[in-house]
Amino acid sequence: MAFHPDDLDLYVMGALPDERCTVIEAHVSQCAECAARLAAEARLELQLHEVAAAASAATATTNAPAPSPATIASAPRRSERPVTRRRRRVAAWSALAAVAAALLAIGGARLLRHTAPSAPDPIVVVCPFDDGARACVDSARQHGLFVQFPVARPVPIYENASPAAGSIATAF
Amino acid sequence: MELALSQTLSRQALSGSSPAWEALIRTHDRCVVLSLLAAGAPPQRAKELAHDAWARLIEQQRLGRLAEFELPGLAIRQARFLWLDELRARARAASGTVGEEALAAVADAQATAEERCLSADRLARARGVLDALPESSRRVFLMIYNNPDRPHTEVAAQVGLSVQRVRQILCEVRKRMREALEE
Repeated sequence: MAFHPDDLDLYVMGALPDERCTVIEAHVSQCAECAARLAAEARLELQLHEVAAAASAATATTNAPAPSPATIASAPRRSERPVTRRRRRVAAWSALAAVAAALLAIGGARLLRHTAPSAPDPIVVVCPFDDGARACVDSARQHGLFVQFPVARPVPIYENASPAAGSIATAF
Repeated sequence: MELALSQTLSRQALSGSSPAWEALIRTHDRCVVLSLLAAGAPPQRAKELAHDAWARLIEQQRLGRLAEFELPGLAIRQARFLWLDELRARARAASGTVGEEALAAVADAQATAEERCLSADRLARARGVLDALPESSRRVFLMIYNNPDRPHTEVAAQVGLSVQRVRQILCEVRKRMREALEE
């Protein structure tokens, strides 16, 4: 193993610098055992969020002392990450925000016509038009997603869509 | 993130505010990526799929198809759906059709992802661990895990500990929680 066992904990907590993250990501892509450990640590991390939320909810109910979310939210922020990583993250989100802004600008007029829809149009997620379409549609609906062209019509096949934000217009 | 602030940002995002989207993404993206890692997605692919999920939510909002939403749940479901769809595509590419075995693998991945929802019994065990912690450790844990976008340095400064000590506490709590949840 090219890293300390505790590094997986720190990785899922977002507490590792970029270079150590890169080492872990490269390793787990080649090591099934460590990939499984990473998945387990990620599950634990999500569960800990659940534990904290439940504990805070219970504390709020009983009015016991607890860290105030309002105080935390209003506190000044400082970064724990190296400057380069923060810059990269800011750049990534800025790029996504720019895409959002462009989409909003392009679709502004249409958006105005859709203000405050009383019932959302159940069309969003695309499913492949093949043997798996039915299962795809069922799964999407079970997860509260909207499905484009539920059955019997050609659909944009999702797996051909690039994950890049700039391609989403062709995917819908 | 404070509930009222989150609700305000959600309303602003639904009305098309890019800064609101950016703030929501910054707050919830790590949970989305973690949910994909928990479902077995490789780290780099998890980041890409999370990005794709956010972009799709923004697109849905632009098209007026989001009347309301709760985060990070909707983004997690969207991202997980993309990952499962990718698994299906891989299965089709490998076999030409989606066979029972491939579908079972997808179902397994989905079930694994759903395991993040703790049963009442496991939640009670975790709560027992939390209650048994020293006050300072419990405070650090709650401050970190109730505010996923809050830097550890900020929490360390607030509680008067070093960042290293805060992370040591978190690792210790994780170890105890892991044991309690795996019993």
